[in-house]
Amino acid sequence: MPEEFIQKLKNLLGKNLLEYSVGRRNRIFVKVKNGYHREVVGLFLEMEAHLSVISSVDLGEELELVYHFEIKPLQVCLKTSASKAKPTIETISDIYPSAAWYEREAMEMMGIDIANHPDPRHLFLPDDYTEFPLRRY
Amino acid sequence: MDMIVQIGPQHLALAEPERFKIHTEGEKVVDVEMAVGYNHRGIEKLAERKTFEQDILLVERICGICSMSHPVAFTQAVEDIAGVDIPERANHLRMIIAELERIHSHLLWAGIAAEIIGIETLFMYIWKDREFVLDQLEIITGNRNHYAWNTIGGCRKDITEEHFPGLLTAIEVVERRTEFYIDSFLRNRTIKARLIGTGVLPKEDARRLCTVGPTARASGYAVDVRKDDPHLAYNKVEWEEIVLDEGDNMTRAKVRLLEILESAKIIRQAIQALKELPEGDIAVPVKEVPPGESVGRYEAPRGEVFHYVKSNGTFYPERLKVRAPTYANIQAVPIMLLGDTLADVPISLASIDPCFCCTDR
Repeated sequence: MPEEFIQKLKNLLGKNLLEYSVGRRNRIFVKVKNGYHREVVGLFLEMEAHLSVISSVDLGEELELVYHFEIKPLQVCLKTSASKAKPTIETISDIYPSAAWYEREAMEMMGIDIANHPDPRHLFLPDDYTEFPLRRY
Repeated sequence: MDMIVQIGPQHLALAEPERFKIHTEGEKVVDVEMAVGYNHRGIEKLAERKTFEQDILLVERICGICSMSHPVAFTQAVEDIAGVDIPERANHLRMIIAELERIHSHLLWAGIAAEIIGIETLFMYIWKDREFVLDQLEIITGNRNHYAWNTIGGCRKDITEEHFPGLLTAIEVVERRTEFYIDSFLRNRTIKARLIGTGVLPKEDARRLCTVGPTARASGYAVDVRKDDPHLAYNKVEWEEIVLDEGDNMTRAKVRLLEILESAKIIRQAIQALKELPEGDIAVPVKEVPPGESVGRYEAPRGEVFHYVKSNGTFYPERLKVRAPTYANIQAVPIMLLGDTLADVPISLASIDPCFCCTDR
């Protein structure tokens, strides 16, 4: 089952599928090139995936977004990253409306610039707060 | 004429601080704006400065009611990274506490719903019966909440022969009383008038907004982590996933009350399994957590609790991401409120069983 799924993604993305791994309990980690995540998310929508949340991670040189999907029975973590100098990643909130809040959180906490976001205000932090508290490096 | 009614951050209808700006035309709600973050404590950042062992106790304090859910989701993710399988007995132990917690949380919700509707007697009755469960939790774990029951690799205490009679009696009492409450909710005229047809969330919206837990299941969207991503020992016991279609406040009440009966079923089977399992280790030692990442999911009383843990090989997690169920469900609240009257707002808001301090972390 995980193998079929990864083959499907390979067919869709070709060399833009940067890396993948399969963890315990049907966990799948897939990294795609920035910009191509929207194609994958579109495919997931057709597969009736459930979006759990979007995490943001500071990798040092780069900032990473991890989209956590459930495609029964697989748990898929779709990753994409952008350089810290210009951390622009396009929104998926037009495909999954619930992503809008998760992206707002990634914007204020990690300083990722989500392009074309419908409502780029702060969510949890005060409006005049300019630091990015979850950055590590 | 358009009027704006502010509910919160401090308001009688809300137990926790959060702000809802309700635009009304006369009595009718036409628009809802929400602002969260009044409870933001920076727990994700704090977790990076504590060791994995300390983090169990930290994430337990994200929520005061479902204080089993966050540690289990967290420890499951860490156990995945470390590559350990916890003993069968520990899985059952965790499951018993988890289901006891689900019963007391759903009873708590039913009581609050009764109070919001205006029937304080029912509120008192339900909360009195909730005490039976809390007493058992206290006898078994030592605490009514914040059980400190989990450790990486298993549980910290065992449930032994001497706990079984009290536990079974409490389950039986609660089951009998829940049947009475289901009857009250279905037959009482005031409750029916307040709940039926209000706060409707259509199935399409529930799916589109990726809602979770009883909120989703009451709209016909079958998501239950216990079935979808089997953890603990849920695939070893027989129980039914409650999915109903109407999507109004009454359906959400029904789903929760019926789930109490299912939880009682699960606990009985788990106790039977504990009797048959050999007494032995309830935890495996985990010396170190190698670099890696994993995802822990757990069906809390309110829905899916989600933890993403990334480790870098040290004693401290590189990143911990927490998503509480209300964070997913609250985005569906405007759809529930639109078109209803202002008087329905408190009960519709309460119908997702919101936990704002979980949402804000």
